Amino acid sequence: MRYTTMASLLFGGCAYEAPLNTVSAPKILNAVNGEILFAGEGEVASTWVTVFDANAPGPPVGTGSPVALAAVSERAWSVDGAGLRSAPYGVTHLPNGSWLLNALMDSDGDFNPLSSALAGATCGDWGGAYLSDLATGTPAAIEMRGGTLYDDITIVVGQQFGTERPAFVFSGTPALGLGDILTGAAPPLFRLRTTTVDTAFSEDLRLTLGPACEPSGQVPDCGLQPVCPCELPTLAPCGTAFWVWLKDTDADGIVDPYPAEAQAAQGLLDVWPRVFLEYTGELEPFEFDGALLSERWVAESFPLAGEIGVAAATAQVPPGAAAAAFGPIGTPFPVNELSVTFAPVFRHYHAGGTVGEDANGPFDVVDLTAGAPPSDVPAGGWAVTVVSFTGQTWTVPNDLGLLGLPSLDPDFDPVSQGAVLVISP
Amino acid sequence: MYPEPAEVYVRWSVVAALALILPTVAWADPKDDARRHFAAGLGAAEDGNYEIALQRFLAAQEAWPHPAMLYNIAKAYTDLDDLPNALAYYRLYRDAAPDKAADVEPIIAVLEARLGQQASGVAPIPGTAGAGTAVDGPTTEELARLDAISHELQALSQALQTRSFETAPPPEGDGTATADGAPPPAPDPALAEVEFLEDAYERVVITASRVGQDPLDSPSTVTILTADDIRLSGVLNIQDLLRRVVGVEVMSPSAGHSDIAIRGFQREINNKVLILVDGRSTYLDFLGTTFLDALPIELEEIERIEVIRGPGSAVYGANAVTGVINIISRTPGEGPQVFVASGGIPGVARVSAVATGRTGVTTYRLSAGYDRHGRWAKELELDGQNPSAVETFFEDDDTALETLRVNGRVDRTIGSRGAVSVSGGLVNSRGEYYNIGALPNFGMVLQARYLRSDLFVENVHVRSFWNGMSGTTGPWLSYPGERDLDGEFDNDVVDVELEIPEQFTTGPIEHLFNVGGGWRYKAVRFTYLEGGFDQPYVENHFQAYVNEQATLGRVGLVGSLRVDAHPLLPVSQTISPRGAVLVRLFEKTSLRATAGSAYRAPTAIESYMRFDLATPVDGVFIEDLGNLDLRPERITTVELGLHDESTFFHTADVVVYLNRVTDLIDLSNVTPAFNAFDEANVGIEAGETGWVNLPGVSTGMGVEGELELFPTDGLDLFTNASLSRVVENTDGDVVVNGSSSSFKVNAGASYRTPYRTDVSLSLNYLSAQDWPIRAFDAETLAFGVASSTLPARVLLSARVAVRPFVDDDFELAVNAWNFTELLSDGFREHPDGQPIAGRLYGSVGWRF
Repeated sequence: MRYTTMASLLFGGCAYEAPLNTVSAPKILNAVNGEILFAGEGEVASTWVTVFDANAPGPPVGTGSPVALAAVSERAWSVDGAGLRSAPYGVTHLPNGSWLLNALMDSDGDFNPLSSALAGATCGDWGGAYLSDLATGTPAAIEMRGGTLYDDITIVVGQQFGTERPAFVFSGTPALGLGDILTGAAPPLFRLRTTTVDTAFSEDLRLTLGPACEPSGQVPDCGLQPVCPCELPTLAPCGTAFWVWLKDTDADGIVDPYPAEAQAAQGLLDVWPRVFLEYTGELEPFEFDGALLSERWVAESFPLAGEIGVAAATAQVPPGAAAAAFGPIGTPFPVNELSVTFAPVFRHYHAGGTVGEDANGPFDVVDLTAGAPPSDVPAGGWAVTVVSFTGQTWTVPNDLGLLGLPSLDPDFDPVSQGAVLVISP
Repeated sequence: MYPEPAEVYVRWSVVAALALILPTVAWADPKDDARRHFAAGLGAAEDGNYEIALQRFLAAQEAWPHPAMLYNIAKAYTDLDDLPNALAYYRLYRDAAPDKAADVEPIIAVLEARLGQQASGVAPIPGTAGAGTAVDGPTTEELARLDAISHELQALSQALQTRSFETAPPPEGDGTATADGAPPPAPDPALAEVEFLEDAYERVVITASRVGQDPLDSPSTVTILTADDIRLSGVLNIQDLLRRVVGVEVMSPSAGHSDIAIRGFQREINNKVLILVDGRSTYLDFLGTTFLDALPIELEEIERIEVIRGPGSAVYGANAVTGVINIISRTPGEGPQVFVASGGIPGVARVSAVATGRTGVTTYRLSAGYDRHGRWAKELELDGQNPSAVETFFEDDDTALETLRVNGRVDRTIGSRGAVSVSGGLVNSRGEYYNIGALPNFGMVLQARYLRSDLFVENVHVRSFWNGMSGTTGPWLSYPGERDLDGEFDNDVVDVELEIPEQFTTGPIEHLFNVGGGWRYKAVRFTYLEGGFDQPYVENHFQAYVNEQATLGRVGLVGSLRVDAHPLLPVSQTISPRGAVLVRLFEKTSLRATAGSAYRAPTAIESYMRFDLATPVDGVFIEDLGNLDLRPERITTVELGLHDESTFFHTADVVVYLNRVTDLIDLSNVTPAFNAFDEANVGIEAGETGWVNLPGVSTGMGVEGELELFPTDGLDLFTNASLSRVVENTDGDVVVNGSSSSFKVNAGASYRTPYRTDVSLSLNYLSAQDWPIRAFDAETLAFGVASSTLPARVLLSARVAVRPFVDDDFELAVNAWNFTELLSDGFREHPDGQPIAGRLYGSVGWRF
């Protein structure tokens, strides 16, 4: 009896299975592993894999920020017998959702995802993505729901950034009134001007952009080819610039409509650079949101041809048509000043990204032109992001204006990078 | 009216058998009952009521045999003029306490002479017996039984002698023996001058001043948990027993990991309590904690646990900041052989065996045990998941702790004034730990071992030990591609210490003096330290202390001072004084006023750390750095306490205290940094954090009260409560530290029924807590502090044990620990911890 009792008790203890912790939310298990293939030329370098919400893609397609990162050391690259260079990567802790994978090889060592000023591809870096079709370069999304593991996702890196980031400052007083936009009482404009940047973030990390490109009338052939104007002697010292490109895919001499149907229906055209506004609320020094998909307010603006002096006239012109006054059509060219008009149509993204979808999808549209009251839109400071057709971006405000780092270029004032566009009801 | 000699033998044989051979006493362990009967007997004797005194002494002896009780029984018989029985008991006493034989031989001689005269016809006493007499003496069978009992008593006596080496050397110069051990000249044997012995069943505290002393004379606040408390509580580990101690908080984030705090300042990796096993430090200097579940000691081989609340650095040096817990093991050769097995939910399995014995002047104790605890909860349901999507530290995701232990100790007396003791133990353990620094849920596989030797020559004690611990650790859950956080550690401590206690008198003043000094060698290798696992860090420490307790009448003064030479600290920062005034308001009531200071030396982690702390963002890490310029954490305490044992039925203690703490060591806020890609660490360093001394002063204050009641045989009651408040003033930023409960209540009852059944019930209440939790903010890429509240909770436990067989050696018990949570989600003791489930388990035990 003694032994059978003991045995049964011990057996009961050993057969135990712990219950699931129902008090705390289960951890997310989604992860993706695979290889990065380098299809370019030259030396490999440390590389970052960035993951974007498919419903809020990163530049140039959208304005999203990466929700996850993975670092790949330069030492991780290897060469196979065929001379193909590859490196393994892994991204963990991905929330449930639909994700796009990009990669950036930081050839000049000035990328840092923690800084809004440094978290972008500079001239000479290489980019790539997980593609569904290598021929067309169509990005592919991967779907993840609790416990998904992809272990064979290949990212191809083969596109070199041939232009510099569109670093800029506000020119004039950056302020807009929503009411003015709706009534047309004042020109819904703000103005941007390119700038050089030269600042040391630490002993081994210096950001040098520019000097500003002086349009010479010569049109560089730098579209999406692996050619870097800033490295071409004939174009030096071409640097930071707004690369205007009136897309004309079919070469019919007519600017293409905006690639999204909703905007195209409004008569908007496919014009680069894109300019986006994002409500800052209380300013955060970092652009990167990490795993937190916070609530966001985003609106899109449009570059205008001409200077601010003609704003009153252009205000009466649809933004797309105004942009079309640029020229030439079909070929990118640099400018160093840009007037931007504003369409009062806002996207209100849910916190949590795709996880936070409601019946309307991952975001709600607040269209003031359709009768939504201006009070629905948060007033205050808005950040302005210029997105080049290459996907390179520059945002003001950024942490150059907040960290108080000294400028190494007398023509660059870091304080200018702390300004915001003030939108009032 | 009084027992006849033959009856004496029969009764005593039963008593002794029960005490030392059969398990009744071993099961019941009713020392409190014996103490109460003994005190009542002394009181009756003082009043001249020797009949009552005799009954009480006999009852005490029956409850818990003690040689002094034989003496007192004999004395009571003498006073009742029952000389044959008196003679019989004096002989039993002589045999049981051979070192006291010289005291009692003259009395025996007198009694034999007088009984001889009576036997020769002068005054025969019918029905009495005595050695050398033939009148109504015991039968041969009874004599044989008496002889057996005498041997057992000798064993008991020797065990008690050996125990005395652990506490303090026997007092000298009392005139009972000459230096060479020869009996002194026979004193006047007038029986009337013989006095009752009053030193039986004394409560002894060792830990307060490193010498054995009455709790009434202790300069520190002390709570004693006995082997009886352990058995009747049915707990599976030490920490669950410590929950019942006033002022003590146990925080268990998982079933495999617990931290102990005393008087507030509860935090992850609690580093302010020094835990000893028989005076050997178990403090892991490289982490600043003790892994309680990795101690190679069985619950069944613990004699008692002394919990000192308040600073202890004056006698123990670094790290005895808010308290000292000393786990005191049974003396080898003492007590029964024990085998206990338990099993139940959640995932509870435990087997423990203790063997003890004697060969001549050598005694031994060997033990072995196995523990398993299931996880209270899993953070993930792995079933149905892609098995490649996550890796667990152990393949078995249902086990929180699994431990295998062996332990052994051999003692040997050398001549009449010397002894040597050698002990050693080994633990293999795998368990689940929480919040190792800023790291969350970790698994650990470790091996802990120790070797120890003690040499006693006269009153000189040389103790040396080696503590070793090595193992591997890593995240409980890890994901493919995630930053590798696995680590390896190897920690060795060698300690040699000399201590010389001395008791003497100068005029009317009684002195309890001890002085000591020693050397400690520490070596640690740890992946998370600068240079990684291949870089050893070695420190040599030296220390010296002196302690003096002078008593004049009702007043005692205590002065203690300890100084350590620490390689990273100036000597001035290690000076730890203590002073106390003790006043015996009444014979069993003392008032104590104590002021003392203690410090905690920076751990190896705090001094030498260099670790890339992973963030939730792959490729982004934070550099975690040690600091060689840290000052020690310093506490200064003033307390006023009252201890009362003025009746046979209770002990009570109440204390108010004030703590002032400076230079608390904590991780600094992250200093953001923007750096280039770090090829060596594969990622970007987002900033640095490091160990710093917090500015400002923390003030803790509180009142603690405890009461134990022993109203009748078999029934023990206890209750205690504490009210405390810790206020942190960091450069004017005043915050109430809420990680410790401000109000705590414990209560319990155990009843050893006359029907081979024991029943116990206990309650542990903690008021709400408000923890500052360091959390990574992905937006700012820095660690911030968020508040997390834990509601008040009650932990209720019960136990019923039955011994179904007549021989009483076999016990079946059902234990329900935290039983109100058996059918609910449980409560948490740390915001990041698992919800603590109830436990329901059965136990079988065999003591013989």
